[in-house]
Amino acid sequence: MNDPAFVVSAPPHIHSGYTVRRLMLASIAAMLPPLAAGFWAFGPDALRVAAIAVASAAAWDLLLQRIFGRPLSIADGSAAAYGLLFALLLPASAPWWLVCVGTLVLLLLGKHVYGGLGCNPFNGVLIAYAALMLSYPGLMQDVPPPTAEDIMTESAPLVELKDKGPEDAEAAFPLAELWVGSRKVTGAIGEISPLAVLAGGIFLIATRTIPWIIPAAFLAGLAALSGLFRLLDPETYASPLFHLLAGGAFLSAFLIAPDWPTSPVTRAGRLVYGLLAGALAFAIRAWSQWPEGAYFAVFLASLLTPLLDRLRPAVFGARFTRRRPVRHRPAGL
Amino acid sequence: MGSARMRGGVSLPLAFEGFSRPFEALPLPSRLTLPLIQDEGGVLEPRVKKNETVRAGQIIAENPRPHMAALHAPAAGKVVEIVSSFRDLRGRAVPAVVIEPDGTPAQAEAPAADADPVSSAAARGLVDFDRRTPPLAGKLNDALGRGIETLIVNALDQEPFLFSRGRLLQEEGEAVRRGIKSLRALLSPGKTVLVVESRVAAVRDAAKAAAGEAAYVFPLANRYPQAAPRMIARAVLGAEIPYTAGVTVADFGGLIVDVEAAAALGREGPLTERFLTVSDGRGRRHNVRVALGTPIGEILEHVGIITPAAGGKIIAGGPMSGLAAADPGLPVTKETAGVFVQGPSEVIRPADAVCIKCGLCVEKCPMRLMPFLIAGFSEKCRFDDAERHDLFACIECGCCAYLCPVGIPLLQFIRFGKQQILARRNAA
Repeated sequence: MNDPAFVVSAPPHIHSGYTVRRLMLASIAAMLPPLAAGFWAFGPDALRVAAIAVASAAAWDLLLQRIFGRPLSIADGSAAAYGLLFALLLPASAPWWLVCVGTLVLLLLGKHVYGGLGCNPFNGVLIAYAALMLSYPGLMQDVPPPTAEDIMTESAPLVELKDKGPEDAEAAFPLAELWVGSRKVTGAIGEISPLAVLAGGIFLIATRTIPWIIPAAFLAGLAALSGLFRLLDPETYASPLFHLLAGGAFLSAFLIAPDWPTSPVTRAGRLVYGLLAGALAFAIRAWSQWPEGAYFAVFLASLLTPLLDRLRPAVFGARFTRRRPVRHRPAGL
Repeated sequence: MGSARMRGGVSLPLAFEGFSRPFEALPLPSRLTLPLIQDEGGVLEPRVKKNETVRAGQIIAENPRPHMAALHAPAAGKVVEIVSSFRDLRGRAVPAVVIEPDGTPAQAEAPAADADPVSSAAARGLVDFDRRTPPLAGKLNDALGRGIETLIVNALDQEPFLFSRGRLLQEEGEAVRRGIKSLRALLSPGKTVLVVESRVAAVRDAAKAAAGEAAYVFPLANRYPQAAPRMIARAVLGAEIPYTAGVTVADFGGLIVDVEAAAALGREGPLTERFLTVSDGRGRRHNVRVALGTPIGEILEHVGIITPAAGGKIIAGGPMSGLAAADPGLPVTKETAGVFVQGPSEVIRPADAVCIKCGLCVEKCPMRLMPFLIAGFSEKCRFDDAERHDLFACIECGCCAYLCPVGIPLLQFIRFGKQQILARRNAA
């Protein structure tokens, strides 16, 4: 009597329609405002780098999927999303081959050697960034002169901070210019306008693509630690607002730190992760040889993700002690 | 009264018009098939023989243990067959009685006046219509023994795709009122609450009328799985019932009875029908009143929902928690909570892909579990690890798999883990 024509499977029988592809497309959409700001500041070079990054990431992904014998999953958009994110960390002057080397590292060491998307313990974008920073520090920081005529500085805000101290840096870069983006400010493509990154970040949070708690905790951690040291020693340390708006703080908070595979899944874990990454960003900026520490800070914090995932919520009812059972004799009997 | 709203879960679209669809009484089919099994109660012993003529409402099978639920003939007719091995919805091979109705109108049987309410609930075959259907007599007996403070009558539908409980309040308010009255007379709870969907005025009004002076109306927005007993208890009693063997809502002074059971209690006579919502994924929805034993396929035919083509799915229950039926000939039983039909293009296919640790399942799990972790451990047969992470606390609502962007069948893995662990324990 069994008619094999019908599908029998476990519940639930419906799905939210919320797919990896949609997550990736939302991420790509969120990266368009910062990319547009980069285009405004650096001209077509920003788009050139982005296009090379996306195209080469997709090509490497296809090739590596073939080599590793995995099903082709280029349509999920993950290669494009990670490629575009990587482009936002590059200067607009990056030569084409540098971009291609970076995306190869991104997809090989950040994805395929571990078994594909989701198996990677480290954020591929940060692996690629670290590899290029160590291998080609000159090219990675060789920021092009801004296109505007009224060049006041050719240095990035955090480089200025490292070289000349907070007073000069804060004088050279008014907060309003750092916030909105300015052609006088230089840096990586995605670092130009925190405002544009925030717009993308709010979109991601509103569409539930990323949890709000990671970016909030990151910015809070960075602001808290930099604020503390500013209070202790205003001569040596820049203001918290300068730290928030200069360099890649917003980019790290909204687009890099919430990377799904490498960030914690619990609320408490995410809070600690964000705070830690933000605090580390300040520590690296203030006390290491690197002017920008936000990306390395996220990388370091993600090393703790397996540990932070143990900060799990108490299971339903676990905290509750049993109320003394009622033992009165019902009157109805 | 606490009103701790559920945390987690998912917002599913609620089609309000489902509550305004009157119950259509389904004509009797040519054959009624009644599997002799009571979910949470075991196999029943037949009390009729082949070729015997039965009256409507006559007991055809019983469980000899006390506080169970008997099974009755939904219509007068002839027992044409007693199948020894019928595959029911859960795939169990159970005996079944097949009755051919002969059209004799049902005659009101004099109710056994002397019986106490608990044995009468057993003799009338009453059950609580939860996802499992425990016999009502057992629940009442347990509640009598312990004494209860709060009687909770749950009129929230199990899923937002089902409307029969909300509709029942509107059409059978009088039976609900009588049912609540007799429950209160039996248990004398300090307080009685009637939990209803808060967003539908007609349902709220019907609840107020049915509750009268006897019960407080407790409106809740039915965010799935708010209607699950633990979530109801949390909302009404303010207590989280832990997953510890033997701990139930009774330990917190409560008893939850669903509104259809209360209505059945309030009517005279045995339980021989169910109130169901029949719908498809394309917005067709009907509320029907149907005799137990009616094939699901005939309900679909009657309401004009086409039985899906090859590759489609027939679901007994709602799409979030129902069971897929292999055959449209499977009958409605006391367990059937609804019917949902999907065409081939609507059937979802689970993905054979890796978790990307987006954390959505953790965020939305109403039991605050780590679904991706326990499902992953179960998938890899690491059952000890799965149990260490509270596998058995899962109430199987399916929110995790519904949300998973990768499309991992998390609930299927979790159920697999539970089954394997229990099977090993039974073998040992």
